[in-house]
Amino acid sequence: MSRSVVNRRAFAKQLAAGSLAAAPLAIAASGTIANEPRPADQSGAPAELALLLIQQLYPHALNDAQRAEIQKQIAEDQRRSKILSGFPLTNADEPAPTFAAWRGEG
Amino acid sequence: MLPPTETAWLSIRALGRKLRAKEFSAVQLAEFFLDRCERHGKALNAVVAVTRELALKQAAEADRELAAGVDRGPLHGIPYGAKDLLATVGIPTSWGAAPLKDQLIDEDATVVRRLREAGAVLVAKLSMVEIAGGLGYEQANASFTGPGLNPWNREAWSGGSSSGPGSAIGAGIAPFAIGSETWGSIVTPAGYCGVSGLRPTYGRVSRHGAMALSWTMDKLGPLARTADDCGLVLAAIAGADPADPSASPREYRYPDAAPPRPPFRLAILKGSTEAIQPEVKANFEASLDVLRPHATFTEIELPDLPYGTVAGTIIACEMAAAFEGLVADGRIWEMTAPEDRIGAHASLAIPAKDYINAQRIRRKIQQAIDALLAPFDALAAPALSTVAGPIAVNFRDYHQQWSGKTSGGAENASGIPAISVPNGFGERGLPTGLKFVGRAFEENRLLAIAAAYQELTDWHERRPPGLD
Repeated sequence: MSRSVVNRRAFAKQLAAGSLAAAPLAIAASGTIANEPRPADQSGAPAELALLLIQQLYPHALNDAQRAEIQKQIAEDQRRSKILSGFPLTNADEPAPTFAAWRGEG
Repeated sequence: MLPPTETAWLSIRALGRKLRAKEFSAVQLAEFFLDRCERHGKALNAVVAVTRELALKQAAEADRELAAGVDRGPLHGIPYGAKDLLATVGIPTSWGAAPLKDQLIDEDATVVRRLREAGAVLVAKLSMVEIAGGLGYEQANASFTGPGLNPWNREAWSGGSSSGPGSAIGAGIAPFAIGSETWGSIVTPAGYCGVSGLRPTYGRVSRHGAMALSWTMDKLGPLARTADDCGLVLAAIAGADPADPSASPREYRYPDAAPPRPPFRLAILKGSTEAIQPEVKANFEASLDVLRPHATFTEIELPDLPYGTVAGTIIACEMAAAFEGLVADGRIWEMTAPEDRIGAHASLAIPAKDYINAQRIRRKIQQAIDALLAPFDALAAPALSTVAGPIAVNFRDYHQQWSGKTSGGAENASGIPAISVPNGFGERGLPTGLKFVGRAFEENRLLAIAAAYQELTDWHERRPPGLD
């Protein structure tokens, strides 16, 4: 399998320019209408975009069932994302593993 | 002459006594377990490779040293198996994955080195679920060695991801084994196979040379016949390691000079016997009855925190970073379980802020769980909500109606230790387990309670049929 020719930065630019609707791995392939405008809060859209990103970066020949399964997993990740974002944290709440400066021998 | 068959079921201390009494030599003991690896290990899909040449060399050295008066301690001359995610020089380390089955790593894992220094004899690399289950397997056939078979009933799974270690100890293929747990991978096979399995505190044992599924959640620990055996093994493998910054410098000694004495203060998780198999519930309640004269019980509730979300997000993100290469170069498509071939893709798109937020919430989980457990010696719970499922049945289908309340997510997000010991049998003649969970770095409390339970019962001495 070859690596994608679209790097992350280029993909972000494409995403910002709205040009991904014409990408070869079209959203339509997963059973939705590619150019249909959707309300921002429709839960399927972010999952479809995430799937598109994954397919651009890791261009494997996925069948419909595999795409559907990955999309289901993305939706689950996004459900978890909402829980994490909704948790009351303050600016002082640091991550559990604390970074430490390191110095070798000598 | 090889030692008698009953040798397969002896504890480490008992084997050591017989070795020093010259009832058999270390070479004879190694030959005995090598033979069992060949006869039973492969039939149970528990063994990736029998390390005969290395084992006989290490055993001969152990004999020479004992003859010369050099005694390296309780593991001297004792055979063991290593989950095949532990690197071993000159022997492939497959991580359970077909595309990596010939992978050679030119350094021994720290635990392998420490066990060698303790005089232990490596007889086999043991099977495991591919990539330690990190790709989201949903059924038992998720390793290039085939589904791990349960020594008590070969139609049932051995548990995962340390499927080989669980099955090997259950079948008397080795006196002890080293497994790993990111979330459930020691406790599950120990419970399903009717053996003792200790998941140490995160950082208690160096992970250097072990496959990384999740750098901040992976733990290495022993599976053995008894809690006491687990303590002996932990003493040999615990401690700081310059090669693993997460390895704690806290000293570990076993047995502790001051182990907790009865009455043990045990917490019971409210609702932990709801929605579990009736035999699991009955065996847990019978275990509490056994302990009742020696313990006090207090019902507790877990604080309302997103344990599963935090642990799941952390594992998914760290797995995605660790195994992006397998997806990028297409080797992921060679995985055994079809669901594992696409199990990493979604995780590659999780935003960084989700991972960082999970780690921020994790600190709160650690503090809350530590405060919850502080008044107690341990939390006691059924190790699992069911016995092992049938090999051919998808996990979701089998567990559908048994979704008992568990502290597993909270435990692993917190990095705290637990031990599972056998406490009876359930449907299809399969074992059930009793779990004790403790505060960080309190393994000796858990070992003392589990050892006391094993003094009062004989479940750990039961043997599966047909394995002589």
